[in-house]
Amino acid sequence: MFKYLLRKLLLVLPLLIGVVTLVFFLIELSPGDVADKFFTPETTPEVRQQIIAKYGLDKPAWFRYLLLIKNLAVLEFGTSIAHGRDVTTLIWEYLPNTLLLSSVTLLVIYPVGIALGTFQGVRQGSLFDSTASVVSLFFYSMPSFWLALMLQLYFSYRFDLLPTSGMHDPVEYDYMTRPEQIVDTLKHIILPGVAMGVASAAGAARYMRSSILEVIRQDFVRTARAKGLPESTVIRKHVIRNAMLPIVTLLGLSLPFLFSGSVLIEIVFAWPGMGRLIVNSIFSQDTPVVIGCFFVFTLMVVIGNLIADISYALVDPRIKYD
Amino acid sequence: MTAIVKQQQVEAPPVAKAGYVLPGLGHLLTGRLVVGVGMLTIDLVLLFAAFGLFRLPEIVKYDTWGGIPIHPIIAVISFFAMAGAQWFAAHRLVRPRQLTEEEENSNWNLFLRDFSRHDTGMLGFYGVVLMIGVTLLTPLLAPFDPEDVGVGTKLMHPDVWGYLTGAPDALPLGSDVYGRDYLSRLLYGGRISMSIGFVAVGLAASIGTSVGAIAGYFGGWVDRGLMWFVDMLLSLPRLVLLLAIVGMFRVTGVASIFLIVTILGLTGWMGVSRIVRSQVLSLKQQDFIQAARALGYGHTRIVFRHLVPNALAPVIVYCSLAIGGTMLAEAGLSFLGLGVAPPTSTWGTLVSDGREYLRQAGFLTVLPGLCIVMAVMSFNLLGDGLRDAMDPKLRGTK
Repeated sequence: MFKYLLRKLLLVLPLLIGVVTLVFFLIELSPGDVADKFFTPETTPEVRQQIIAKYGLDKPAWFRYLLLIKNLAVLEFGTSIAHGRDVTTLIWEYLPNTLLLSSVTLLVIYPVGIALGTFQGVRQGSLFDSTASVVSLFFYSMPSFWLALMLQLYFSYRFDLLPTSGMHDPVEYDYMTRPEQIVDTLKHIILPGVAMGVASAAGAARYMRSSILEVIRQDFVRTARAKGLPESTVIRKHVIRNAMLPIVTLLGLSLPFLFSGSVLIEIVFAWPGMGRLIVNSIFSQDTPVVIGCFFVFTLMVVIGNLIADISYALVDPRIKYD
Repeated sequence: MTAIVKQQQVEAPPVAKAGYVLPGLGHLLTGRLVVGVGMLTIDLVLLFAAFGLFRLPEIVKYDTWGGIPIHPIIAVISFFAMAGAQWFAAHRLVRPRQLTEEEENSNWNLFLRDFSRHDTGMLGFYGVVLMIGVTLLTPLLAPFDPEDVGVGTKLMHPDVWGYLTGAPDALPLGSDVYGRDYLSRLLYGGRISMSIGFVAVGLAASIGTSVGAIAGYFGGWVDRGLMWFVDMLLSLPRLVLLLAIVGMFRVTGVASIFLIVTILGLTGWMGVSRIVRSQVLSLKQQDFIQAARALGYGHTRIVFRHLVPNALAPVIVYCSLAIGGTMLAEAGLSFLGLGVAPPTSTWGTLVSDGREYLRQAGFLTVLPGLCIVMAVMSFNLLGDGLRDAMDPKLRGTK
């Protein structure tokens, strides 16, 4: 197990370098540079030259690429051009907000989807199953940002139940006591959390249903029934446990998709997270931040894969890595 | 051995002949609900398109591409083709094709039989046919020029009944902030959205099939290298990758459509390549590939004439599901303002434009979103149905 993880971790390095190289090439190939974004036509060429030299943009591409790799090796992302701040602190500021949003999806909405899929699979072909299938497919086929807008339209504008956007109440948050602050944040998280989670919960339900159907046809389930176990025990101990195995992998693998899903949701709800950071940096061609964000994203993916691998071995004692 | 022709004269009940009057009615009356309703809906669309035929001289004025009214021509041809297909389907119900026993048990026929019994799959099939039909017939169906700002006044609300009864200031689905007819904008926007989905997935499927087949067939370091590249691309969230590429290369005008299609295609092929690779890995061990090698065929011929055609079935299922995903990705990009450049609009840009007026005119956001959901859902239902019908493990369970 340990050796397996070590080998996996060693494979991370070329992956990270590959992603960084890809992003660097994309930025190099794109027309225009940071200078075009920041200066009006009236800016004198000298000032322009100075600023370009300050960010090292006058050096040839291969030199900057090697410099980038060298800096990344010591986890040095440089300074943001648009924010004028260290990229690492910038990411540390935005990352927890995204993690908070995705953890709501992971811990609250995913289990709902899995439970739904389980009930559907156990009662295959029933009215409940077919209704739930159509409903979950409906949500699965929905653009997340559109759902977000609909939630905003009905829950904030029409009925004024929940706040429209942001993470805190803009005025009163600073004057609240700690518990009140938590309640305020929870209120703000409901709509974006639901908008982000519904599609993945629907996906999880679909996946869980087919997983249950696959397991429930197998011989060991028939054996368990034949030896007279009550149906609930068969389902709980024999079917669900085995059907959960692929779901565990799905959870780890869906980590990156939670982040990409969060991009649009964060924009609709003005949520100060990584998604908004990366979109704004791309718009302002803020190269260090873009590369830093991609680095973190890739790292998340790798961690997600590792979690999937480890938990797979934990829930299924038959699996041994060597 | 002579083939035994099964004389299985299934006489259709006389009510099936109702299909000759109105295609679909026969299916409905003989108890095939999904097919019947699907065909009747297509009848309705064709009926509306028939009215459009009378307005053809007017349509040709605004829907031209470089001086040639290519879209109206396509629309008229598809109108007659679809009408013909509808009546042919009605005719086939009354007089089903006689199959020999060999045909009866062919894989294709088993697939057709399983699929036609898969209710949700058929629902998806008719949804997709409807969507494609509406896309092809767009010029005939849209009541106004989608760019004409003088059709209505600012932000008129939908009034289908008023429009049909000829009320003076009524548009079926209202108007946008410039007073453009929203139904026409939805139809023309859908045309672009659907085309982008199809072309991008076609591109992705071609790239993915080639890469997967090459990796699987040659194996060794070619395989390892290509799959490493695939894993790297897969480890990046697609939307973020798309954002990075499209955000960096901002293009305006019609060229933006081609950029979006290319980029969606270039970022969507990895799944296909994995499927094809695993198929090819198992196929290349089989005798017919050995035989092809023994005959001295070249690599290209073996890969593209023998391996790829046999690996296509799961690719088709994947593509049907991927069209939905691609349309969602396109909508997401358009929503961020990185999609197709104005004045051309897609469903995604319509949602994004309507967002500004979410309070005063919610329908501007609701309607295009519903269109996206309907289209994506149809493709997903179709894909699920195709997968179930192609899976030999599930064969005979229904």
